[in-house]
Amino acid sequence: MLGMILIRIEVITDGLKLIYLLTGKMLYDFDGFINELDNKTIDFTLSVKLSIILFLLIGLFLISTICTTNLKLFNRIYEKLIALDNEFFLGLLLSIFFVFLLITTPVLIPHNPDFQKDLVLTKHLPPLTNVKFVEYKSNFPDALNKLRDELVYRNNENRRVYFNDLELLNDELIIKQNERQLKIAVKNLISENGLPVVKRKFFILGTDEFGRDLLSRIVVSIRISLVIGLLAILISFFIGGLIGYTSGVKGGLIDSILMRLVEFSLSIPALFFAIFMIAFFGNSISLLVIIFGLSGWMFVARIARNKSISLNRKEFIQVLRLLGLSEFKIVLKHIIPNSISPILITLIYQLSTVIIAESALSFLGLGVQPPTPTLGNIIKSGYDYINNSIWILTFGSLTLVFLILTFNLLTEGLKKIYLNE
Amino acid sequence: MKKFFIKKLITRLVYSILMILFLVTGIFFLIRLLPGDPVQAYYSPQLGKELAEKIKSEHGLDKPVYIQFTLWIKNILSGDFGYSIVYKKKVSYLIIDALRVTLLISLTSLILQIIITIPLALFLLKHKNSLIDILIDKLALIVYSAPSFIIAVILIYFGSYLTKFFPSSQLYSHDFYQLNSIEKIIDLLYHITLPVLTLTITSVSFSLRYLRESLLKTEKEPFVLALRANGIPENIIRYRHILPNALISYITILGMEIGSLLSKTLVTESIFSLPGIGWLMVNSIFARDYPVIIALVMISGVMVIIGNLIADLLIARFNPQIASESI
Repeated sequence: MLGMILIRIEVITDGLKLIYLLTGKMLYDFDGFINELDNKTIDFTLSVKLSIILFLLIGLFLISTICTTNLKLFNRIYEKLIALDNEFFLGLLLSIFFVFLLITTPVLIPHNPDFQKDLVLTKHLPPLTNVKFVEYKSNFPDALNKLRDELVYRNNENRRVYFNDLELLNDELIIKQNERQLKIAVKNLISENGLPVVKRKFFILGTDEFGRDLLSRIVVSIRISLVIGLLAILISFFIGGLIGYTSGVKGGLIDSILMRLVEFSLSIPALFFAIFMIAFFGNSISLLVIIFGLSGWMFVARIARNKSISLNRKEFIQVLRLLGLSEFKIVLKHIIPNSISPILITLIYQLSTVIIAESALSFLGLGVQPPTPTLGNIIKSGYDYINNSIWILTFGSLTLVFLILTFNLLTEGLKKIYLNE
Repeated sequence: MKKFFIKKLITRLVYSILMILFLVTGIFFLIRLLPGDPVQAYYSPQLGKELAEKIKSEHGLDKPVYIQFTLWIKNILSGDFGYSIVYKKKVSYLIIDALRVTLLISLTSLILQIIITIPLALFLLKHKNSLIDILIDKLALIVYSAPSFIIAVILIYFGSYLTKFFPSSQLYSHDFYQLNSIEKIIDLLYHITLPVLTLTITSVSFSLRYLRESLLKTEKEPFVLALRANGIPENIIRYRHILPNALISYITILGMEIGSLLSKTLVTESIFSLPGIGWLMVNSIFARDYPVIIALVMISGVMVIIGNLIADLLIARFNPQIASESI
């Protein structure tokens, strides 16, 4: 992770410059600053800040462990980590890595995931290939917009012209892309001493059928999958917790009605339910989140109910009740904290099933629609082009398997720890 | 014991029927909630007012909601789900055709799963903590983490694209109807190999880990130690005592799998374009064939309810401890 941040150190310093310029704008011209803000800018600046904080934290951790080998805190952490199950440890590492990717995506991705340029040269490139390019000058007068254009929207990639050969004729550049030839005036390009600057673009994992960088697409798609999954399990947690705890604490008729509701919801297969809803309400990411949230709350509700019933019988809860604590407070302060761990374990498991379901739907063309990169979409395009670019399929599936494996390892490890307690 | 079992059977049966009724009602009102006029959606948006009224009264859409509801229940009980917009056929015929395909592949894979899982888990128990045990366990974990469509795609790549041995889609060859009966069976087997393998691999990776764990757990119990102390041969302990005890939890899983047979095959069928329930579902969505979609959701819900019923009864049959607790 340290290395990944170091590789992108240039982007981070530029990002810092952007943050500096934005803060300057905020101080002098607040309305203009508000107008400038959009999701992408906020996302990028936040991610720059977080990656610097992460970098400092990891650096500090490493330096202090090297300098003071017998520090108590680190020893304790180290002992705890050594005592863990190997599989669980791997799961923990992988999940930290994925959270790191989630946070620093805008900084990490080397390419805009949606840009496609000069298809002749860039489509279906195998991993570890590079292509030469020249770049048009940007025509933004002020530094802020120029930086933002490059860093946040990555429009400079759209101004690139890829080529495999070029000739300089007077003030014009003749660019050859296989059979195709282009003429560009040198003065429009980024140049040094009258000669255009030729750079190389390195595609680490190759490109897909539209010449888009596969690595960037995969990193962004992990983010989208994780966000969909996390929001969905948040919804299931709230609905399931509400229903489960109410029925567990209240008991009686409410309990039996709510539990019938749970069993009814369990009887509808999640994937069929999702497809049914998509058929009637169209597909958007927010709808997918709601659907997956609605198809996972039953498990949470069941556990919450069973746990709260068994806790209700315990003496300390009854003592609290006799002391005159309100029912709401008992649930909030004593029952929920005492029963949260099995619920969290189910939620992590739920997260993996949501990600599987989402990618399966995307694979079938029913989920998130194609220009947005999701793992399902990437695997689908890999499957469509199985005969000329196998790497799309390979890397897409490997990522998905690792993502699911992480959650499976976490659930199993946590289950073992919980049961041993 | 037997009396108790019958009592449980009856309560569960009544309960399941109530659930199915609830499901049907829920879907009815969900459709009511949808925006848009059904006549315009199903026939044509440019219908004249008179004609639209006529069609509405033909379908009973002008009657009050409760009469429509009783009509809906009546139609469903008689197996009438209306007509498919795309195929211009009765939905029930379509579903019966699709159900045949789905049941063929899913039941085959279920049987294969049982045949593979139990001996393999016993073998792993015999060679517990050996290299092969650990390897297979880790492999199963990784395979279990792979969604079924990835396994399907990998199988297509190796079995169909590289070796060109198995067909990657369809249930029959194009000259199926000219073949004699033996060749027909071979052709069918040839076509369902990859889908069945996909389903089997996914379910084996899950159930193997589960069964292995519960075998290991049972082996640690005191009664096994007592049997060993009495000098009973290891094989007899394994087959007669550990296995039946560990199988109880495996049967629970099997029951769950019977319930989710239809939804499990959805992705696999669509990838291999087998004309089963899942394929029909996905295709109807793309074609906006609402009568088929509604019928399929209903059928799959009913399947889950029946599957849960079977699972509950199986558990009650094999595990008297749970049966005596409550329903």
